[in-house]
Amino acid sequence: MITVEKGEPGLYRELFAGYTTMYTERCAENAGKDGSALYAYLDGEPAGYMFLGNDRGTELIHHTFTKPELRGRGVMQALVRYAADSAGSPIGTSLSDSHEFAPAVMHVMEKCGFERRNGRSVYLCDGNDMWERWDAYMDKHGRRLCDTLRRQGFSTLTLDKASEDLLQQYRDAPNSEYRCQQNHQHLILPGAEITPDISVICTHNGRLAAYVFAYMADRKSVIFKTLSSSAALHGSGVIMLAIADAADIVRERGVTRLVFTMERAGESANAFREKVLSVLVSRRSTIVGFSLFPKTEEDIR
Amino acid sequence: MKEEFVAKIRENIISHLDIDDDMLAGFSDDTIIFNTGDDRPNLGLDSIDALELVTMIFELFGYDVPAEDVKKLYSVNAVAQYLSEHGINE
Repeated sequence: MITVEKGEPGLYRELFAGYTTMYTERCAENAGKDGSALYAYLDGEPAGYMFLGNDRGTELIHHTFTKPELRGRGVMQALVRYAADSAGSPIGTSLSDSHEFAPAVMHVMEKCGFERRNGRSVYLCDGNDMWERWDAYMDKHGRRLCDTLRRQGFSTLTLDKASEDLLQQYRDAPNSEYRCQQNHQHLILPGAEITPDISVICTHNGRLAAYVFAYMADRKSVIFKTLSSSAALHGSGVIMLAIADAADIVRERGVTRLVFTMERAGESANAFREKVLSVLVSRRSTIVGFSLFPKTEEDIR
Repeated sequence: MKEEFVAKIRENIISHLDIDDDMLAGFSDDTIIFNTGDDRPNLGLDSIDALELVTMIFELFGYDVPAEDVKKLYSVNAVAQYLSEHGINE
């Protein structure tokens, strides 16, 4: 028989000694700040746990674990159901399809009534020769293309230098990160804050055209999100300039690991970005979001 | 429009945009090269190829295509027509 109860996040150290990793400790620390933990017992024996955190009104499942020898007995399902039933707010999570347990976890989430939301493609760029490959691409193609865009009237600036008018255009853009967050689509990077002095806005004759927003994950790693926001300029390749300038900035800061995230919607735009990023990318995966939300206006559309 | 002018554009598009033999099967001067976002059949080249085409036009003819006009350059004939409308025809 499986029972689930709430407990202090730090309790896992005692109940699951020998099963934990540094990642577990980080998740527990985060849960300890403003979140909570659930513990599942199978016939009285500690079998699994889940860390939750609240992010802008949404309960997020940050981490779940079941003892390997007790997997396949419904422990995770019991934890997910308990979390969903006891949450006083919308609840969600996200996970990478490259994770070895991803198919099983996705199955459980759907069984518990969660809906899949649009995933994001994630491109990881690292390795000692990353910047050398980038230089070779820029020398052969990139600089010519960036020069064309500059002659066409495109220019870039970092977010911290943007005027209030530009910032308002960003807030008003139909696909801006700002609006995405308003619509609870921020599950992939819960709580992440944009780093303004390494985020690049691209303008065309003074109007917002595209941006690469950056989240400094640690001193050597940056998460990039790229979007073009002007429908009139779709197909112009403007994101090339934003990516090139953002790459120059983070390179000067000693960054050796880039993570690009992209919405799966807009396949043609992604094809372009993939082409540019294929120079840098060493691994690719998709992060799938799950939610147990009340219907939003967007869902209805 | 002079056939030599159209041929020059065709040859440069094929070489600069890496249009391979598979794409060339059935290729004509009216073939839509880029994904234009509608249902029309096309070769599926993307906006980085469009940017390459604009750069090619600058390098060949010294003319800068405005960003708003890039969508008009969807085929060999469309490029030739666009350039001739801007005084470039050889």
